[in-house]
Amino acid sequence: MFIPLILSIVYSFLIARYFFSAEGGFDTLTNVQQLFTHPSAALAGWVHYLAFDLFVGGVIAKQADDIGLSRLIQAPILAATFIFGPFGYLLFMIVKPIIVRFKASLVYSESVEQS
Amino acid sequence: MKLDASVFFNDKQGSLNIWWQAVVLLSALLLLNLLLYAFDQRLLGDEALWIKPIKFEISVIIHLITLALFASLLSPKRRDGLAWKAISYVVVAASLFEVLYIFLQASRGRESHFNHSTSIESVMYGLMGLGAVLMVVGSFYLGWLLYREFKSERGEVLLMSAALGLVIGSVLTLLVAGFLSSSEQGYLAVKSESVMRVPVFGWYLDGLDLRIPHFFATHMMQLVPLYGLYLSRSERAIADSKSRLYWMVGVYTLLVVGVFATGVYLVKLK
Repeated sequence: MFIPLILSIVYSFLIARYFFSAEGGFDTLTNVQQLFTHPSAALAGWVHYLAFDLFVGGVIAKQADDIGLSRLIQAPILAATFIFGPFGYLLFMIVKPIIVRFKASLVYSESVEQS
Repeated sequence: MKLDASVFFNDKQGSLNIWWQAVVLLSALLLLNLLLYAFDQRLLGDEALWIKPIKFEISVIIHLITLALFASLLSPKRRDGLAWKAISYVVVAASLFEVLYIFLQASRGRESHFNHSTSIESVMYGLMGLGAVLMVVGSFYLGWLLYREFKSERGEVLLMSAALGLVIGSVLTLLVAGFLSSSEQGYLAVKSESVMRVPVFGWYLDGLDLRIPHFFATHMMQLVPLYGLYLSRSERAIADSKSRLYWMVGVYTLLVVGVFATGVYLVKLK
């Protein structure tokens, strides 16, 4: 979580310095496109993606370790989170409940209760 | 059939084993892939772009489940041994690599197999070949372990059918897919409207489409053990079941080799 923090500092500086001096804004798609034509604002956007994708990746990795998801299975999910943020997060959110549901201890205790 | 906990879990308290974790991930990908297929109409070559990753996801999911089931037939000593553990990870890594690369290339609207148009894609195609070989070697190795299990301790028909399916299926797959991938033109069938095609699979029925023997060689790993399961659950004597199994395996192997040889002959004739 150290790297996202550094990136957040960089982002804060960039956005405070350039957001109000650049054309455009967040209110319409056209304005967002306009905003991203300004190199420093676009850089801020890029740093924003990096900071949050890495942060979300960190959270996913922590949770994945906790539920016992193998690092080998984590790897493609984390790679997807890094490159295409929400796509990797979505993959993880589909995988997670299934991994949590099927634990040997859970399945075992339920079969004992039924018998 | 009562499935042993070792099919799904590494130990009593643990989470799903590596096979099922990979199956869960690939199923999630398959789900998203089906949605993409419904909404993205782009074509690649002669079929919808997203069909190919869907086929590979389903096929690899079936393959990984097969390995999970058969690995549970091993004695705990072999199953928990370092050798099989290491092979499991290599096979799962190779499987994920294959599917994810095919998915990635589909989304880019580009070929994954037989693509030598850029040097990176050419290298990646080579790596896919390596991955496929690793997957096949893993299946062969499991088959061999099951055969040793069959020889040393228990003479069960199911065990033998799993061993035969995996070993012969691996060798035939290596043979067919090896030949297939050594050709420059892809899977060689004449891709034309006039040739009859198999629905769902998309195969061309002109005798040249080597994806057909590839399919039957590879899925011998499921079909032979299914027959073995049927035999083991019937009332037959062990000796009778075994001879039926050997006949089935012999005829099946000859059929696959026959279709493959015909295809190769027709290719050379062209």
